Amino acid sequence: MNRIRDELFLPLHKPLKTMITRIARKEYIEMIRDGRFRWAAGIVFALLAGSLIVGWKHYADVETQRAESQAADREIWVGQGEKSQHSAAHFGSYAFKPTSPLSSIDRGVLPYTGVSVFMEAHRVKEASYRPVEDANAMHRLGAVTAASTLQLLIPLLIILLAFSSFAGEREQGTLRQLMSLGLQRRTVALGKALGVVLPLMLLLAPAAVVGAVAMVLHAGPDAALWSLPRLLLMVVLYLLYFGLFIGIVLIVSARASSTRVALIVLLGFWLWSSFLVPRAATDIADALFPMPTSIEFDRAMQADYDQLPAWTDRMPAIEERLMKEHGVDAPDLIPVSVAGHILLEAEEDETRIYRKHFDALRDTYEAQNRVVQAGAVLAPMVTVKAVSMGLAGSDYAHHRHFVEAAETYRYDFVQMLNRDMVAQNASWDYRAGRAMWESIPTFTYESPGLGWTLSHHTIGLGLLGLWFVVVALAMPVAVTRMKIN
Amino acid sequence: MLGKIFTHENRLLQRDQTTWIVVTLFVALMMYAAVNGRQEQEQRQGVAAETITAYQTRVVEARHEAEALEATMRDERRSLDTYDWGSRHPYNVGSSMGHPVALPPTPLALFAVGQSDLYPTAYKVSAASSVALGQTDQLENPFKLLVGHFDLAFVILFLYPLLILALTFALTAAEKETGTLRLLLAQPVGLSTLVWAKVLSRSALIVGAALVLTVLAFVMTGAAFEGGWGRFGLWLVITSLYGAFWFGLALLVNAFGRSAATNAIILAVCWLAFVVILPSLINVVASTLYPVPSRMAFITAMREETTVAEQQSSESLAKFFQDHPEIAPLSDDEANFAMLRVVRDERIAEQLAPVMVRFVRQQERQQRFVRALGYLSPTLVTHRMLLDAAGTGPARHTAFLDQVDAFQATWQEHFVPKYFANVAFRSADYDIMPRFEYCEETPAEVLDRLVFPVLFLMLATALVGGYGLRQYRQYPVVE
Repeated sequence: MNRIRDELFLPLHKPLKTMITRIARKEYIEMIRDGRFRWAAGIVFALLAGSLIVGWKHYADVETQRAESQAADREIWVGQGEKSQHSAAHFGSYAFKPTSPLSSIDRGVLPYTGVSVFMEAHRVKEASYRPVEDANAMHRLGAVTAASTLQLLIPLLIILLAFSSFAGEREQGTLRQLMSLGLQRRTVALGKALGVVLPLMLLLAPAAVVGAVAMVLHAGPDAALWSLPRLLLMVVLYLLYFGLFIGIVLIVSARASSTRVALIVLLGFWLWSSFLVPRAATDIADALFPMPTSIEFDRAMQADYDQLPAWTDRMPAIEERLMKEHGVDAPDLIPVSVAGHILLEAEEDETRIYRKHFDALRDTYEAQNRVVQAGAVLAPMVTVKAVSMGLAGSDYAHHRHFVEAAETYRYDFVQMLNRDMVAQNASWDYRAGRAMWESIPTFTYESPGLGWTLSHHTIGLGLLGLWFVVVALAMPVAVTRMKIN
Repeated sequence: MLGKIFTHENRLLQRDQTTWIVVTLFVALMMYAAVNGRQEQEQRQGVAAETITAYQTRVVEARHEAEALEATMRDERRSLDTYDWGSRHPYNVGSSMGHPVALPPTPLALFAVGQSDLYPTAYKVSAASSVALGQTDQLENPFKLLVGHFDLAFVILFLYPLLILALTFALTAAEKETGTLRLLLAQPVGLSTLVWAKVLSRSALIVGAALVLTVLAFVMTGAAFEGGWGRFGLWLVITSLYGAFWFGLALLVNAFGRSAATNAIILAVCWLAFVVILPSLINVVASTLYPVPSRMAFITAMREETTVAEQQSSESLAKFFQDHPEIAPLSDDEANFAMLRVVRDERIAEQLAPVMVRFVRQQERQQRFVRALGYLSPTLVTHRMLLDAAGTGPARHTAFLDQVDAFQATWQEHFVPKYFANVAFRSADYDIMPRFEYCEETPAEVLDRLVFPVLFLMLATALVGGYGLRQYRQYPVVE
C-alpha cells in the first residue's frame, strides 16, 4: 500500500521536470530546424555583433581623443603665459566629457548632449558641441546599436518564435493530443517558454560573454571595475525584459482565436511599445512640464543678473569693510587687493543666479524624464530604454552629473585665482605665471556609483517589476482558461 | 467593368471591420500628430520673430542714445568725431551687438519637425569673428531629441505603410483561400482587372484619407500660408507616391500566390527592413566609414591658435596692414582693441581653415554616401523629400547659412574699415548699416532638388507594381 503511494506521489516532481525539458527540447529542435528562424536569428546575431564592434571602436576613438584633448587643454592652461589672475580666469579651460565603456552598448542621449564645457569667470555654460550636429540628417531615423537591437529586434524575434505556440497547435489539432497526455497546463506553458529561451540564449550568451571579456581586457582596471556590475545588471534587465515578452507572447497565443489574430495583436503591441508610447510619452511630459524657449530662459536670467550691484556699487561697502578689518583709515592703505575682493563677491552672486536658473532648467528635464518613465505603465520598453542608458552611464542624469562637476570645478578655480589676487595684493598690472597656473588642480571627473544611478529609475523599475508580476500571474490563468479546440 | 468591380470592392471594404479599424486609427494618429506639430511650430515661429524684433528694438534704442549724445556734444561744442564705449563705438555696434539672424519656419514646418529642433534658434553675425557664428541653442530635452517627434512625417513614414499593408496583405489570397476567387473568375472578368480594382479601391481609401487628413491638418493651423502652396502640393505628391510604392510592393508579394499569413509576414519583414533596419544600418556604416573628426580635438586646436594669435597680434597687425593697405590707419596710432580683435580673428580663421575644411569635407562625404545608399530604402528617400518639402531639412538650412555667410562678409566690409579708421559710429550710420533680409527658397528650387528622388520613387513603384502585375499572369487561382 505504502509502496504504491510512494510510487504515485514521491517521484512526482521528477517526471514533471523531465516533461518540461522534453517540451522545451521539442520546441527548441523545431525552431533550430526552421529555416526562417535560422535566417532571422542569423541577421539579429550579425546586427548585434556588428553593432558591438562598431560601438566599441567608436567608444575607443572618442575616449582616446578625449584624453588627448583634456591633456592638451591642461598644457594650454599651464602654458598660457604671464597675465593677471583675472585674465587667466577669462582664458578659462575646457572640461571634456568622458564616456563609459558601456556606452559602446547603449549610446543613450550622448549624441544629443554636448561633449565639452567651457569654464571661465562670470559665466556658467551648458555643454556644447553635440555630436548629432555633425551627423547627417538621416541620423534621426535611428542608428543600429547593441541596445536598439536588444530593445527592438529581439522582442520581434521572440514574437516570431512563439506567436503560434498554442494558437498554432490548436489550429493543427495537436494541442488536443498534447493535453490528452494528462499534463498540467502550467507544465506545458513552462516547457514552451523554456523552448524559446534556449535558442535565444544560444544567440545572446556568446555576445554577452565576448562583450564582457572585451571590456575586461581593453578598458582600464578602473573602468572595468565600474562597468562590470553595471554590465551584469544590464544583462539581468534585458533577460527580465525578454522573459516578460515571452510571457506576453504566450498569453496572447493561448487566448487568441487564431494564429493570425495572435500575430496581429503581438505586432501591434510591439509597434505600440517601441514607437508610439515613447514618442507620445515625451510629448505629454513636454506638455506637463513645458520648457522655456531659449529667449525666455536668457531673459529671466538677465533680469536676475541686472539686479546685482554694479562694480562701482560694490566698491564703497567692500572698502569700508576692509578698512575696518585691517585697521586703516584710507582706501589706499588697504594691504589687500580691493578688486580681488570685489571679484570674489561678484563671482559668488553671479554663480548663484546662473546655478538657480540652470538647476531649474535641468530639474524640468528630469521631471519630464520621470513622466516618460511613468509611461512604462503602457509599455515596459520605456523603462528598459531608460534604465539601460542609465546603467551605461549615457542618460541625461549622468550628463547632468558631469556638467555640474565641471561647474563646481569652474567656481573653485575662479575663486582660487581671485583669492590669489587678494593675497598677492595684485593690481591689474600684476602678472602671475606658470607656477600659479600649475597650482590649480587638474580637472578630474568621477562617474557616479550604481546606487545613484538606480535611484534615478525607481519609478520605471517599480513599474517593470509590476509588469513582471502581472504577467507571471496572468500566464497560468491564461493557459488554464485556454480553449483546446 | 473595372468601374463595376471597383464599386463592388468598395462595398466589401465598407462591410469589413478591419477597414474601419484602420481608418479610425489613421484619423486619430494624423490628428494627434498635427496638433502636436502645431505647438512645436508656433513655439519656433515665436522665437524667430522675437529674435528679430528684439534686435530691431535694440537698434532703435541705441540710435536714440547716440542721437541724444550727439545733441549734448553739439551743445558743448565738442567734436562729433570723438567717442567712448557705447552706442557711438563702431566695435560695440558691429561686434558686441552684432546682428542676430534667425530662419523663420515655413508654414509646413508643423508637418515635419525634421532637423529644426537641432538647429540654433538664432545666429549672431558680427564683424570680428569669422571662425564660427555665435549661436543660441534651443532648449530641448535630449531624451526627446533621441526618441523623435510624433509629427505627420512620422505617421506617414512609419505607420501609413503598416496601415496599407493591413488592407492589402490578403489582396487575393483570402479570396483564393475561401474559394470565391474561382467563382469570380468564372464571370467575364480578367484577374488583372480584379487586381486593379482591388488595389484602386484600397488606395482610394487610404491614400485618399491621407490626403484629406493632410489638408485638414493644414487648414486646422489657421495660419496664413502665403508661399506655402508649392510646398503643400509637393507634400501631397510625395505622400501619394510613397503610398503607391507600398501598394506596388503588396501587389508584388501577393502575386506569388502564397497564403495570406505568409504574405503578412513577408510584408512585415519588408517594412522592418525599409523603415527600421536599413536606415539605422546605413547611418552606422556611414559614420564608421567616414567618421567626422572629434569636436574635442577641434576645440583644443582652436584654443592653441587663439593663444598664439593673441600673443602675436601686435606683430601680426603690422603684417595685416601690409596685406590690407586699403584700410591701414592714416596715423601711427596705437592699435586699439577693436583692431587687435579683427587681426586676431582673421589669423585664427586662416590657421583653422584646413581643420574646418576637413570637417566639412568629411561631412559631405558622409552625406553623399548616405544619400546614395538611401536609395536602397524608399523610406529614406521619402524622409529626405518630406523634410525638403516642409523646409525643415538640411537643404533649406544650408541655403540659409550661405545667405548668412554672404551677409557676414557684407557686415565685415561695412564695419572693419570703421574700426581701423577710428571714426565714431554716428546716429545717422544706424540708418545705412546693412540689414539681413532672408530670401526664401522658391518652389522651383525645392522642386529642382526633388525631381530626381520623385522620379526614382515613381520608377521603383512602376517596376515593383509592374513586375507584380506580370507575375499575376501565373497566379495559381486554384491551390
